[in-house]
Amino acid sequence: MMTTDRENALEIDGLVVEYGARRGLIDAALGRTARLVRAVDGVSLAVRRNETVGLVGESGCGKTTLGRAIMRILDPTAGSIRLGGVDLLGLRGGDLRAMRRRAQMVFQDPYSSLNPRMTVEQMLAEVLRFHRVFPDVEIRGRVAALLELVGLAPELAGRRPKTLSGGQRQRVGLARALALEPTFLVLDEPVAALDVSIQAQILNLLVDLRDRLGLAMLFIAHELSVVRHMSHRVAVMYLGRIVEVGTAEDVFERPAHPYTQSLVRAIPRLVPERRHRKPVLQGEVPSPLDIPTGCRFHTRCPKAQDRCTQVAPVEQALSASHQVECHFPDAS
Amino acid sequence: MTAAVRAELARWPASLKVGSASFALIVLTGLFAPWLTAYDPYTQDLANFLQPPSWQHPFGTDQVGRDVFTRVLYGIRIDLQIGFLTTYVPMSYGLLLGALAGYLGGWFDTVLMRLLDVAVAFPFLVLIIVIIAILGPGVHTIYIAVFILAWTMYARLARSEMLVERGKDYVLAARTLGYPTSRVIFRHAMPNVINSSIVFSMADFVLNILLVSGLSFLGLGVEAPLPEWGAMIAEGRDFIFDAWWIATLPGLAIVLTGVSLSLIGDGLAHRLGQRQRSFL
Repeated sequence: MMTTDRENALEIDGLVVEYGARRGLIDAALGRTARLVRAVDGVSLAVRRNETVGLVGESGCGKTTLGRAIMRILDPTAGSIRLGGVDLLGLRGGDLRAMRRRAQMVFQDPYSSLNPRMTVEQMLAEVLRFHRVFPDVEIRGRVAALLELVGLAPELAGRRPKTLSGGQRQRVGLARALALEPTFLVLDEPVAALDVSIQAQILNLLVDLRDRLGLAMLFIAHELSVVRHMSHRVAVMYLGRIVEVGTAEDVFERPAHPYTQSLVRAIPRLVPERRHRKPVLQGEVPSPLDIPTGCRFHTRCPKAQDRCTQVAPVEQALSASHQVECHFPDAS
Repeated sequence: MTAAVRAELARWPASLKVGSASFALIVLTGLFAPWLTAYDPYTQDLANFLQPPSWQHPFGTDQVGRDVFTRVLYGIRIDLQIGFLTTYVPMSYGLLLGALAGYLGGWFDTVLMRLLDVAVAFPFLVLIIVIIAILGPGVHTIYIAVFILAWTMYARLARSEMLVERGKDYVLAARTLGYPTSRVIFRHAMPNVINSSIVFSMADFVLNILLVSGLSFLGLGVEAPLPEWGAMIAEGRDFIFDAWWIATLPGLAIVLTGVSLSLIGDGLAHRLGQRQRSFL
């Protein structure tokens, strides 16, 4: 699956991100050692130029952590992240700042992702001025152009976030991310906090911008219907690992992993005869502090057998574009 | 601009308006003290000692014939100056240290919090008596003692607020935009951290004036001829049954200043709190 290819905008290889769970007084008294949560446990993924990869999974599966690790907000324990062939994890200071111009992020909650004390213009101008993208005299015009790009009226430049609607705020967040003209965007559930009617507008805007600006995107979401609308390829994540990856068609029409199948079944359908009768997934995601042995999905898997509780499955290719991590995938 | 000022004023709660108006009046009275009275706060007039309030001496005279009204007016300058310095000097570095500890965490946070525990546990009066023993009594003694101990409350407030702000998306966004840590802390997170400290500083201002007055009353504060309110109350105590006005009127000045500042604090909490709630 991993090809070291100049066509890849982003290459992640064997990425591990761990959080230290706090060791309390009682733990210390009982002689317990500090426990680590492996939020991302050996993930490899590539995003090609101009390609959108959807990353789906339940909350707590590590998808946001993965996005933040790419943005270097979190430091991974192991593995590598390469952006346009440059290893991000080795970058410091000025080099890291230069990389920031090529990869940017849009956050989930537009109500907390904008500084409440700054006007829209201040936010956008600060980015441009700090990175010296344009001479100071051009900044005002550039801010107006950015607002126009994301479909906002230039009159909103003087407003503070509290006077903007959720959709407007998310557009500002998008304008801020696009200010540096990045080639790669991480979108962390960019529409999850918005009304359904606004969601569609923002998604259409994203598709439009992607095609116009030639952006590569990692689109993180927990909702499959949203991902399907956006993505060329889809990766399904469960408890810190990618369990299935393929083209949107592979994943949605021929899901091979039992977890993906249950997610696909959970998509609401309009046409009654296409409704699935099999029950959707039962139970809760196990705690990432106690990842099950063998296949990490066996505690909830309808097809689980003895082997699944003991041996972790390795990735196998069902076709050139479709890979799955399961002992008993549906090969249909 | 005037429209913006008017809009801002319209949002002020009544307590903030009344408090700021009366505090402004007190400050102006202190500034224009020489024009508001014909007497000098230090000149003794032994022929007219312990005079009750009259048209000539509206607050009466003290045991050496000084005009109490004049001394209360000049006392505004001293008490407000002391209150201001003992509040806002510790606030400035308390905020800075607390915000840095909250954002950076790690050993800096640990060391600062242990230092803070020591400062909180240290008895204030013992410290001030030790400093007096070394340097002699005076306002500077109070300043030194307060500067050593009073930053703790601000450091705690700023640290706990910063712990919340640090995880918010706008701070993460500032980091992903490549801004250096100093810019993320001071330009982005800090303005959202200082509100609670500003509100608290109003209460602290009152407490510090009371503290200095109390210390002066005990003879640990300002030196004798200075017209400081607490010191004046201490002097008037000996004559409280024969000349009630010597101690009472400086006491009223303390109360009035305290009430004004409390009203401002209340109003600010309301004004800033309201604004913050609508953000979330």
